[in-house]
Amino acid sequence: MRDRQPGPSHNDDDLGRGDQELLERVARGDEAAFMTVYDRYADPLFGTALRFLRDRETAAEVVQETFLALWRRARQFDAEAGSLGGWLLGIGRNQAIDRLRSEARRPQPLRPSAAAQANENGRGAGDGLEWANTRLAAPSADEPPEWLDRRWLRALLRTTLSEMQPDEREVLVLAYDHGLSQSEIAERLGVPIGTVKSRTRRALLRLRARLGDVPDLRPATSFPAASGAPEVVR
Amino acid sequence: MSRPTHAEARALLADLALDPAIIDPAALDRVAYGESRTETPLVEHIASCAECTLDLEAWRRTHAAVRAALADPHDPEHAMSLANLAADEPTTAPAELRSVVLNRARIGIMEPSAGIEVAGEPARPQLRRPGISPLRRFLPLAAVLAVILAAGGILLDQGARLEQARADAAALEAVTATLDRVLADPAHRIVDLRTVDGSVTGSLSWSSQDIAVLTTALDRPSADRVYRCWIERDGTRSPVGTMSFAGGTAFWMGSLDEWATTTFDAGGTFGISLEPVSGPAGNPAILAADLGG
Repeated sequence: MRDRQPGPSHNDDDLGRGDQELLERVARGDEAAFMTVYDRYADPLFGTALRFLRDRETAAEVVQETFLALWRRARQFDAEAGSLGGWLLGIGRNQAIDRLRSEARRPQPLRPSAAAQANENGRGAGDGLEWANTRLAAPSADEPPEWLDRRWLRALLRTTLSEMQPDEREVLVLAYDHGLSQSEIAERLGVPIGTVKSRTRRALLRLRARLGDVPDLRPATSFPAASGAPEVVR
Repeated sequence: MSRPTHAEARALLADLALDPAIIDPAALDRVAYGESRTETPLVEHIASCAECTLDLEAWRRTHAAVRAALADPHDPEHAMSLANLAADEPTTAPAELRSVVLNRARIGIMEPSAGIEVAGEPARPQLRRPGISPLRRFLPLAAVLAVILAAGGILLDQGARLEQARADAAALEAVTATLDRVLADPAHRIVDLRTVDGSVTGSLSWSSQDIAVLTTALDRPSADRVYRCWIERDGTRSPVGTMSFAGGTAFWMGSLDEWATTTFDAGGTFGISLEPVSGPAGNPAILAADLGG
């Protein structure tokens, strides 16, 4: 397993300076700097593209194209305008949506639906993804851009949550889904409030590192009805 | 409360953002900016501090993004629960993707269109009115001829460049095809090519069938020199190939079938040295890769 950095730094100032310096080196053709950026961001980008597109090969292509775009356009990065992670994920989002659209223009071979396959394999029922998988329609190239943006955002959130420790996810779920305060969470979990605070801090900083650059989306209204294809990652 | 210092303000903001009870972005705004817009020490600081304003905005966007992601696309009135999105296993990019990206970046440096300059539009000849001088009557024609000749030269130059770009593109296409074959072999191996100071400037990859050497660290040699590739084991060098060039990318693509007498899997050192066109490879390595063993 290759060495990996644990993700973006939690100190925004350090991150900004580090990003700018790294990108300056990448712009000069420094392969080591390029691979440092790759090691830092390839997994979240791949995970998000995979959850968005549900196809490993296409997700890998998105990662390739995104990093090649970085290699060619590193000089265009401006740390003042946002983080490197946000910039890369923005390129990745555009690449993924382009792929979706180009795939839609291609004639598709007939094959059993992913839903049918999942049922035949005994998957899809009872696992933690069931609800999300069956409630969310597969992304369609015909959808308005803001819906595709929201689907990308959801894929990004799922990826970010998947990278957290279980105890970090737990406090976020209690806060977001149950509206509990930190002292209530501490009481519910039977742990000191300081522990809850540190877990919440780590979790929120991870969220912020990935989502803090995402432009505001308009309120969700009138999404298309589910087409029956569940959100199954293959 | 006195007006907080910058550090205190950032800590306060972080605490505000940490409180799950106010992770609603609107609530964060109310607390940070003051519910009734009355001036508080923190509000005063944020209003005068660009960094804290950006900090607050990042927290607000984070929570807004989570809320937007949780909005149920089929029923906007009811948000999806975070727990439903928090059940995935972590995913990692395929391990071989790293080499693919790096090698494609090396090839991508020299895109066929990158080195072609578009020639400027030839200047129109200045046509003069006839009758001033018999000799001058021929000037327009001479000017037109001059422009035609100049444009022809430019076109010839442009044609040569296009030919070179096409040749480079064809070579890089072949390199890409070989790399694809190597990377598709589950048993492939990749080692770094390093300069004498240890900097990584290229790669050597091979499968059971193909070998691909790729670097951007070499300049084209003069006409009487070549870059030779060799393997050195127990002090003995065995020549295996010669580097070619496509733009700024130097490469050697080989097939193991052609020289089955040696192998990359038996350890030793792979090296590239600059040598006379006719002569053995005896100069020090400019680039080398450790084959292990």
